Amino acid sequence: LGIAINANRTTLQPAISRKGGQMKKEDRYLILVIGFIIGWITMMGMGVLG
Amino acid sequence: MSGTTWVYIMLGIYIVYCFYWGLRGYFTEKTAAGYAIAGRSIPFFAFLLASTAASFSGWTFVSHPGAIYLSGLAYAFASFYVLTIPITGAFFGKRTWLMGKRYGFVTPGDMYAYYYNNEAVRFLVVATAFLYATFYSALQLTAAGALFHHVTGQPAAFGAIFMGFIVWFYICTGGLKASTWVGVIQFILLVSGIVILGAYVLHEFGGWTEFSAQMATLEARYLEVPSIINFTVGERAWTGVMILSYMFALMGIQSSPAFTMWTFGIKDPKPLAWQHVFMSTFIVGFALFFFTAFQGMGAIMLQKAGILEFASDRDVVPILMKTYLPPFMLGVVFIGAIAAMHSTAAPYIGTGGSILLRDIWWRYVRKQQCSDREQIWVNRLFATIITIAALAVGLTSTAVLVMLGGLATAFGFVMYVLLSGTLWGLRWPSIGSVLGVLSGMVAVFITYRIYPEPLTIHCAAWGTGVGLLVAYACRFLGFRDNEETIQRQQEVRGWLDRVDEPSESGKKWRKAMKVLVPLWYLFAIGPACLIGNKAFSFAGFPPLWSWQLVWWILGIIMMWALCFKAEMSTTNEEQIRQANSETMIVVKEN
Repeated sequence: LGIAINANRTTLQPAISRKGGQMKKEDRYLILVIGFIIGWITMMGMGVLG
Repeated sequence: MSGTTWVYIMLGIYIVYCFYWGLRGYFTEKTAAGYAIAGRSIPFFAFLLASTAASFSGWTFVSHPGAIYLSGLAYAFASFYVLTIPITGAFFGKRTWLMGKRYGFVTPGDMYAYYYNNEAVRFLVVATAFLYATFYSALQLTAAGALFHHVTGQPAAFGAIFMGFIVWFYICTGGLKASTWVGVIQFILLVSGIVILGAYVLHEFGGWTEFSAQMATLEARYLEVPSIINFTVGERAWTGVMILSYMFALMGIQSSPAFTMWTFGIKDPKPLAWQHVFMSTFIVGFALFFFTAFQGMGAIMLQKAGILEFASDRDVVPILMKTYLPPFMLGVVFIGAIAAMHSTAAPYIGTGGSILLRDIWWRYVRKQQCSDREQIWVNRLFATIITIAALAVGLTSTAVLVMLGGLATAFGFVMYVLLSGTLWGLRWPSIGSVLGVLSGMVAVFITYRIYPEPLTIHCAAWGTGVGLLVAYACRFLGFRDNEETIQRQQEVRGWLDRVDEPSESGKKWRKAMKVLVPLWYLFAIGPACLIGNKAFSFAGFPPLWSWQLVWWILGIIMMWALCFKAEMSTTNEEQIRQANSETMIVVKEN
């Protein structure tokens, strides 16, 4: 469980997890980046930058 | 201490760092490939930062805010090049690296000449590389000289020669590896400089709320895209199709011979996806969509309020720097601008020298018989010639320089003809590739100089459009390749498609991206961007700026999907193993 074998890969890799498992690094970064931008724009709208 | 003193202190520290990497390379790089393409060993982190810095030149730092000052938010669409420059890397980067590994290519000319079994195409690429390197570097060095003059009061010519000397020294001594490691610090300085200057301009207004309120009073011409297309010749208007085709021109940066060669030099393709999505589209995008826009839009309002007076758009950044930055920050931002200019000039001069060495000197003058030592020294000689040529052009003919600097990126985009044929198998005969590139370059020149920008479409789009048309016309007119060329191309296609085959999930994502990417282009930077003139507004941003921010966020998601999920830029250990072990070297190193 939690392990997927990709036909193109010779090594076993943890599955990306659509069902509660571990997310890939790039997915986590994407969420972080989008969250940061939306947070930044919201703060601008709230007058945090003056 | 005064601002000028800080400028000299920062410059001194920067020179020490540049010269350290140059001299380190001088004593360690002993092979031709080590010098020219860093022995195919550029590490993840270094490529990530340096290639991003090289993609966004001093033009981004100095001229982009000036252009926003001239044309308002319609021009700010150009900030989308944080996505359109690296999307070229997403299309071609990984496969370029795979080709370099398997066949041992050192220059882009090696790759195209091998694939099309045709030496004429090599000379076209050499000509493109030389022109691109000379004129684009000239643009950077003269801009550096002008900034040096503005800030220190020294003559601009002296500044250009001084800045040229710094970049020349570390390229000639250390080669591509030195240029890459210097690029790492240049990236940090470039982004920091843009953010700092933008923040000080915003501070001058008393903050975002006041800035936003003043912006709302500007005329519509600063806040809207004027039209989709104008049926004119010779008019530079930021219509929907001009914005789109201008983005095509900037896509030419990563398809230029210099970037292709740089990609041969990386250790493995792992940095590519991260560079495209996070370093370029997100980090540089953050600097441009907010802080560069603060500078450009702020300059419009400051001039209208009678606080500052800009004689031309070129004065915007230097005057903002001198007026609003405290002494220490002036030093930091000045070095950021210089780093931005050097980070672009260095790889073009370096790879331009290497291309001349390998494709002309080594192959034709020395008949592929030449020691490593001789290759390194002749490479240095060619890099010196390009630096001198760049300075000579830059210091003697400003008008021509601006024209040819613009031509450079358009010529780079014409390389799409060769890249899409070689790496993705678009089919036309060998003669079609030569005539396609040649006619593309002629079309670029005609639509830039003789009949400028017909229908408000940038010359880059005309050039590549004509190039592809001619290449395909050769195929449909019945030109055929010889048996050797056909077999060679089949072998390349078979290997590339086998090694770079996406997973089942990747194939599904690629299918979706074939629809989503054109849709993004249409709405974000294409004719449909006119909807943004009045669509919606939030957080005090005018409608067009809000539109740009939303499509930038969607663009980051699109790039993430394209590079990672559709596996256009990702790799795995098996793929790297195959590239390293299934070699079929067709190019000698010495």
